[in-house]
Amino acid sequence: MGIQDRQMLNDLIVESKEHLSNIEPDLLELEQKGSNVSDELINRVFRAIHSIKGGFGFFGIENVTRLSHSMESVLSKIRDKVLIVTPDLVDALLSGIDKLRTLLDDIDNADNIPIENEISKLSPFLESNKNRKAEPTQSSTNELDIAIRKKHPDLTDDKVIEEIKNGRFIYQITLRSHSDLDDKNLTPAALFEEWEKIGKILDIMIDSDSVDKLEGATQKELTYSIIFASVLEPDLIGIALNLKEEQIYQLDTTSIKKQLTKENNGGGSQILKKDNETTKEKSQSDIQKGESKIEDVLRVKVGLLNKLMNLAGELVLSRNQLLQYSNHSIKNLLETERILKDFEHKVEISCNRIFETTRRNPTTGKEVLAEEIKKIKNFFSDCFNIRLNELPALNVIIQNIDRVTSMLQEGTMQTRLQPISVLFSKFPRIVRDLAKKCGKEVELIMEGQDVELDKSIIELLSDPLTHLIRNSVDHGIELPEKRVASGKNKTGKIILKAFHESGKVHIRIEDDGAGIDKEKVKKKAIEKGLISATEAESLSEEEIIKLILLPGFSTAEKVSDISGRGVGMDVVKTNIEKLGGNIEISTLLGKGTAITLHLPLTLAIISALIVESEGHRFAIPQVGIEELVRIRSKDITKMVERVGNSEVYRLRGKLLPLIRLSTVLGMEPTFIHPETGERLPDRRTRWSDRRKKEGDEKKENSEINDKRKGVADRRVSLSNSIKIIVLRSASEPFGLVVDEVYDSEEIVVKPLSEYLKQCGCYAGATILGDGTVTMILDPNGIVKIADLKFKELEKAKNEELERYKKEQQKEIKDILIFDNGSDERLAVELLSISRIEKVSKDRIENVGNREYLRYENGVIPLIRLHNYLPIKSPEVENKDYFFVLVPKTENIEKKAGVVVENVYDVVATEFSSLDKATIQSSGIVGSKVINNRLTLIINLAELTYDIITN
Amino acid sequence: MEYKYVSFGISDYFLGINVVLVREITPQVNFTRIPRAPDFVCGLMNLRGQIVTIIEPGIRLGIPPREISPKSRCIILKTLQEIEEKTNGINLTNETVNEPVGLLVDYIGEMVGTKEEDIESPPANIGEIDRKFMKGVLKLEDKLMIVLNTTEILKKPK
Repeated sequence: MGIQDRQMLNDLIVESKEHLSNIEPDLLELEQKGSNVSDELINRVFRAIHSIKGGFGFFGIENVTRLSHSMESVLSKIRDKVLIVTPDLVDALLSGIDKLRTLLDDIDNADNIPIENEISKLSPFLESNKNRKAEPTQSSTNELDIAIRKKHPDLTDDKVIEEIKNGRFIYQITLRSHSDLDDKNLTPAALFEEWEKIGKILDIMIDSDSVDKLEGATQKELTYSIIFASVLEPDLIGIALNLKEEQIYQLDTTSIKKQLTKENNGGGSQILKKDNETTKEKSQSDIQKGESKIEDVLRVKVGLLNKLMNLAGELVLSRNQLLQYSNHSIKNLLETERILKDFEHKVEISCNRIFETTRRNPTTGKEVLAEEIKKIKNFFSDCFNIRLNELPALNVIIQNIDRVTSMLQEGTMQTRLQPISVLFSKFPRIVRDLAKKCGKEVELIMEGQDVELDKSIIELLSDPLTHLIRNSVDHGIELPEKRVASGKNKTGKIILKAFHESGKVHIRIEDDGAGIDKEKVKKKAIEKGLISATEAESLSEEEIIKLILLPGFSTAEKVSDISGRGVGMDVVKTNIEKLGGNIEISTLLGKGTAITLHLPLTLAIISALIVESEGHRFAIPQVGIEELVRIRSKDITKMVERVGNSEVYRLRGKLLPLIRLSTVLGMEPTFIHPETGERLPDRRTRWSDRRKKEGDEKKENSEINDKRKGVADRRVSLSNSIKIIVLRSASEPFGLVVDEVYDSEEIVVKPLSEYLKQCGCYAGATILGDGTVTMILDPNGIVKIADLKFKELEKAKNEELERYKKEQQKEIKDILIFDNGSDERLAVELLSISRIEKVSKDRIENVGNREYLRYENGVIPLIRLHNYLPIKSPEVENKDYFFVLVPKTENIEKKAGVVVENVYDVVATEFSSLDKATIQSSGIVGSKVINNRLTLIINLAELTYDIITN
Repeated sequence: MEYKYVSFGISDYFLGINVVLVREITPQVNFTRIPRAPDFVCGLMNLRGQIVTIIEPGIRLGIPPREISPKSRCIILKTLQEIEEKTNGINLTNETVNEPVGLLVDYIGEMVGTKEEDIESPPANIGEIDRKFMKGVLKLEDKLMIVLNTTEILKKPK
């Protein structure tokens, strides 16, 4: 076979395989809809099989042609509504398709692979109809029959019968030595060799009649009569052999066939059995072989190719522009060089002249000097007259190239992307077959078939997914009776779903079957010696389920040919890991199992946001990013709340847990010293904390002084604001706090080093535009590492809630202790005041016998407590300032200030144990001994309200 | 059979590695440090567009970390495939990582050629270095060269 032929054959194989996978779902539909099926569907299947038959007929691959011929015959009966579609019929057709695939996979060996089993499955359908249909055709062929018989071809010859048995057509071909051989410069041997490729020459006779007739002719023309057997149909044989139609007669073989089938039904069964066994063995080895098989041909939409062609065209255009530009530039440079040389020369002449004249005549020298300088100036301005404006704008060209390059890159990437439906489409068939085999009823629901994946990933996914689907049907879904008994729908459900999330592709296989029995798994694992009994005790539920991924594990009681050999999940695991993905299993006994494959974004160019934390730069895949939030440094304390050890940010009313990238990555927190610019360790644990070095009291003081002087806090600056990247992980959104956000960049994802896989927070590495290596962060990994924090957050939330509840019961309240300039201790509830103001005496205005304080934009009345309460008056007022407590009021008009002398402390007190009897007065809540001093607790709100309204 | 070794120094130790394992030696010692990485992984280096994981064999051997000096070099090792293509004698197993790896060493010494039989089997330990990291030792005129067991050094992390 020539190279060209080989190429053609390969193309044909690829094409045929596509045909086969395309018609498989059609056949399943056919089964479901029975005979109500549309003609279009049948025709589609028919055409596909027909073209396979035709194609391989040309290459003389007999088994393919024979099998597809049988299938075609059955299909044509269905098309003509002679045959009714039954599950058995579809089974026969499907097994035919399978066998065709096997043949195509090993095309060189195709003729040695037995196909009798499949053909015999199909033949009953064929025969039952042939009987009905054969009658009318018989009469039409009668005439020909007679004509042929006249030439005595012996159809009962063993050779001929053998060929008929194989489903071939028998032709009688008339060949003239003159017109068919000599004119075409062919020797009979060469011609027959050609013919042997598409069929078999059974007999060659020299036509005695024509020899007689031609006797005496100068150029002897011989007529050969050839009995030729071929799988090609009458309408194709002429083209294949390059002969005119009238040279070919099809011999009627119906009667012989009939005879043969009768014989077959009697004695053929034993052969079939044997055949059965060999195919079984064969198919098992096929499975093993198939695991590493990778299709090398890719189909690309013509539209996309056209787009790429256009882009390539544009790129060429831009290149031409660039070349032109560079030509211009070179020309210009040469010109510039010339002009500059000229300039140099002229300057030299001028210099000489000046030198000469000043030497000869110093007086006129000045004039000459001025004149020459003017000349030099003129030369100089000439130099600038280089015609720069002729150049095409470089900027435009570069912009264009930039645009075209990125579009080209995108387009090229797209050619590699294929919808996952390529993979999914084979599952309905697998599920159907398996369900039937296991006697189960299973419905397969597929979602997200348009999710596109890199071709190489799709190829490697095929086996793991098949295993998982098999497992779901075989182990997961229970038998119908059992399902009904446990109150489930008789028909089991398997949901196969593909979707994009956080920069990864996820594929989930979910069933509503029996779920995985953890105890059983544990027992089996111990039994098989995968773990020891003591080890098993210490395993968590999650770890137990993970045991099924170990090589050699199987819970199946019986080893069936579908599953249970204990290689399945191991294969899944290794294959997925090969792709850099991971498996997540969640199961509920009696309810079902969901297995999710997380596949990485490797092999791709993605756009990512570059961020910085503690001087390290990282890339975050853009797909996972929801939004960016910046909190101004002055708002930090207000917007960032603290729950336990975790920080949260209220994003549009929802609590968003904050994770600091530096903490997750275990980097020492640092800050850049504003003066020295060096990076120093930062000991703050929260943003509201002031930065200070331990034992650096002086510095702290000076910092406070700085603030007083009006120097802005150094934290209050743009760079000190908090940048939050809101990421969507598999669970819920969270905010990743980084130090700096840079640009978004197109990055090439390089696989993660094996040493770094255990870090758990990286998806890969990349090289940025400036050549530095940067890690790509994995949002899910970050959440996992920070998971403890999430739990802590929840715990803290609950704790706080509980504490709050307790406090409510106990009525613990914070009180502010102060005095009124005397030795009596007074206190108010902290929550009842809005401000404590330090006020100098000169801010007090006196109106009548009342005192007022300029406060905010207005004035508020001041209250001296001793005027209203049974307490001592202040002893001596010698301080030039005092404190004013401003109670919380709803109404701004009713604001008042309470004058106090000294403010001491805030103390939590149980209000329930307050002594309300000893000292009673309006405005006083009660008294209590706090810090060994009797303290009066004042109801400030009531007091001020009373005073003001009076 | 004669072997050639690239000799290098880590702290006070003088070590050697079979030359067939070495792709190149580069004076480039700038790399991106990776937070959360194992302590012996220095970081990732951009070696002409290829990302190379730089590890410090010293730390794997139990030698305290040292500063990078102007004499520091990276020995870039061949990957599994590269080795398999060219030699049959040395087999790194599946246990080792299969990616470009560079070893950060304090300085590079000369090439040392020796016969196989001159390499003595290693003692239980030399200083801080455990026996499992040594393939053998070779007595040179003035010092002892430890032949490094690369398989052990490049073992996949568990």
